[in-house]
Amino acid sequence: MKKLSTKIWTVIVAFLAITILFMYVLTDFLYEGLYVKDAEDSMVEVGEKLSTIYNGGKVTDEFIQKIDEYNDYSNINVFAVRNPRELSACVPFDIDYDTLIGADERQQLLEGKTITKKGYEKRFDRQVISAIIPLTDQKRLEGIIYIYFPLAKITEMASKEVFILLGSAAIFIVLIGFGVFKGIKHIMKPLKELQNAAEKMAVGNYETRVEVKSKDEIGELAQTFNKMATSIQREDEAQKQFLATVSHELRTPISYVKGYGEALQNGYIEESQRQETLSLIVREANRLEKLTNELLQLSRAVNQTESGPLYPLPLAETLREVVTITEQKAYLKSISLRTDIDEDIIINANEEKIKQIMINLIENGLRYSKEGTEIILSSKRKENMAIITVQDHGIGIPAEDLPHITERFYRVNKARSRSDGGSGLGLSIVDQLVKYHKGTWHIDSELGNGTKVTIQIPLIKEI
Amino acid sequence: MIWRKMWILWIVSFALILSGCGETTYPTISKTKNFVASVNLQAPSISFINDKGKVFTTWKLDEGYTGATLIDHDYILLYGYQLKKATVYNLSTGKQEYTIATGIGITNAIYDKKHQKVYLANGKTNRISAYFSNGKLAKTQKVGNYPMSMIIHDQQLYIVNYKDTTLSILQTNTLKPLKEWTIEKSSNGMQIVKNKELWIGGHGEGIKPNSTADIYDLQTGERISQIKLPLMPVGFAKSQDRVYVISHGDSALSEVDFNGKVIRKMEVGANPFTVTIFKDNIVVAGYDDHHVYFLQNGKIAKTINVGKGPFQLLVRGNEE
Repeated sequence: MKKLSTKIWTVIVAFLAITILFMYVLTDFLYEGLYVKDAEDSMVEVGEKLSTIYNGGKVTDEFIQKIDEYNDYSNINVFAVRNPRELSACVPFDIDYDTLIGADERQQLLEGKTITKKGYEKRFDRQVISAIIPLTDQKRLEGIIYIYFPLAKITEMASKEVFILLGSAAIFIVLIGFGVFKGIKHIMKPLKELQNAAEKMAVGNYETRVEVKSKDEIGELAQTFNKMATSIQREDEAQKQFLATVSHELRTPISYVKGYGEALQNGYIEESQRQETLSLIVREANRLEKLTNELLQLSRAVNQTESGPLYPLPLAETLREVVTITEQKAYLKSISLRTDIDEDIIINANEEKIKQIMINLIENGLRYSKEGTEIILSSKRKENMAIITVQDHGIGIPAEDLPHITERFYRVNKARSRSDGGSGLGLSIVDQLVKYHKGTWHIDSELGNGTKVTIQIPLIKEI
Repeated sequence: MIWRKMWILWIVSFALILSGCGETTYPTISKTKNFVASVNLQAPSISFINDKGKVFTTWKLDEGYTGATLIDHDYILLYGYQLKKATVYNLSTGKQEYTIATGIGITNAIYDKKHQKVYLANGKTNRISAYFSNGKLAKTQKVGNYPMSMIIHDQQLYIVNYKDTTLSILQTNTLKPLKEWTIEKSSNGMQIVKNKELWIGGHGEGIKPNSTADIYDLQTGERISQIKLPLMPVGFAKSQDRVYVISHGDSALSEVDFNGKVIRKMEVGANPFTVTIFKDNIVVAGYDDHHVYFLQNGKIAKTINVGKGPFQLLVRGNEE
């Protein structure tokens, strides 16, 4: 497998090579297009001006001399030719030497056209740009003015110093390639670190973190990675904690049942105390059953957070049923249940789950309220939501505990006392079930003054 | 792919059928009509001009012919340097009579009326070949490098070897080699004067243009004198008492008496290669300006538009 850095390096170096090639072609093109064209134009201009000296008839010695004189003072090479041999005059016959102009060129010149050309001329043994201006009289090609300029073509130049050119290009590419390699390595370093960290994570080292040095995309990635690592670590710890708590919670009633059961079996309990011991065993067994039921509920609720069938539910009726269910317990604790219910609210919900939420909240309220207080259950409508509140006048929850109140087995009472009868799972279940209904909830509490839980559940959409 | 091949096959066979069946027929030229004809090279054609200086017929040639010669009164032989065969046409019917399998390299042809044979010079094989009037080969003889200019005199065939420094003399009919003279390289154009002199013109060797006609003794082959002429004298025509020489380098026509004295010089045409006499006209063809000129008394009497690149002039009717 090719490394990403190798790929990037290859791409950059390839582009560099292409750029160098392109620059070469472009330079050549500009040279051809501008310099050569300009040279041709100026030569044609000079040639045509010189040709005005010619007045028709034979090309005279005087004319040739004038052109020669011009040549002596000019930076371009110019001469006049009148030798018919040079002008391909004998062309229908086989010609035994190289003429200055060819048969096709002669035809063009006969038509009075000026010729410009560029390339190797055997006569001068070099690359030249040349212009040929005809001197014609009555369709006779009496002579020509030949102008040329030696052409140090870029390729010709290059051919002389081709090794220097190629060598410097190669060295340039090698240096740039090395530079790019170093640069990519530098940029890629955090990625490498990230990779190492991810591998450590994969084998279970959740405390692994990467050092964030840059603020670019890789820096952001590192930051996100760290966040993810923190989350995973927290989740992992929560999981461990949960397991530990569950085993602990289960072990206590089991040890009661086991201890008293063995005592009964071995006859250590006196006859008079047996009945009490048996009811103790039953109570602990009940607690065990309740605990396992709630664990089951919680796991179901967690699994069903994402989706589930919801249907129109008259909220008032459901709340009244909940009150009926919990009335007995309230009565036993001498706590009154007061309701303030809006009769017209219909929410989109699952009846069993709404009941579960409400029972959990009311039982919580009952558990932490003093005798003779009251619990108020109310419902009202606000925009598209049904607002349900459960307010007690109990012991309240300290502010520092509020954020953790929905964590499983979290208890405000750190002594893990089971005297209050709570499992520590009730609010976790509420949290999951509210989410299941796409609702929200929050707890307002004042220590010593009571707690108010407010739930918002979406109403059915009006069609 | 197969269909494409099939198509090509179809086209090729169609072309073969067309070329096989379609022997070219040219416009007819009546036997009674005299003419001077210019053989034009640049877009091969023959322009037939009557004695009034009018082009009355043009043959647009279908092959790259580079020269022609008249055979007797009613036939014309067309040849080309790049062509494998020469073709003889009947002028009065315009139809092909026969072909001669010459092979490529034909530079010139001359008709020997006495032996009714055509002599063809080949610049590739450096041979002179004699053919019967039916196109069959009669005899062939190796000569110098690149034979071209030919003239017949007194049953002797004089041949200028263009890329050589020799002139070959063969016996007509048998092509038996008789003599070999030393002459200038790149010589072209000959004329027999006073039955004892051979005048030879030429382009000049290499870069240096020639400006003389050299006079050789017919008997000894010695160069006896030179005539100074305008640049590149390459065409000759002889009248009763004058030799007309065309110099293509200077586009000049010179009138020379039989003693080699230049009587008159004048510019005519652009790059003319050939001069001939038709009735009482001196006729010159300008290769670069595509005109044929009729001259009388040293003046241009007629200027005639002909096909591109007139290179050769053929005359019928001077004999009557």
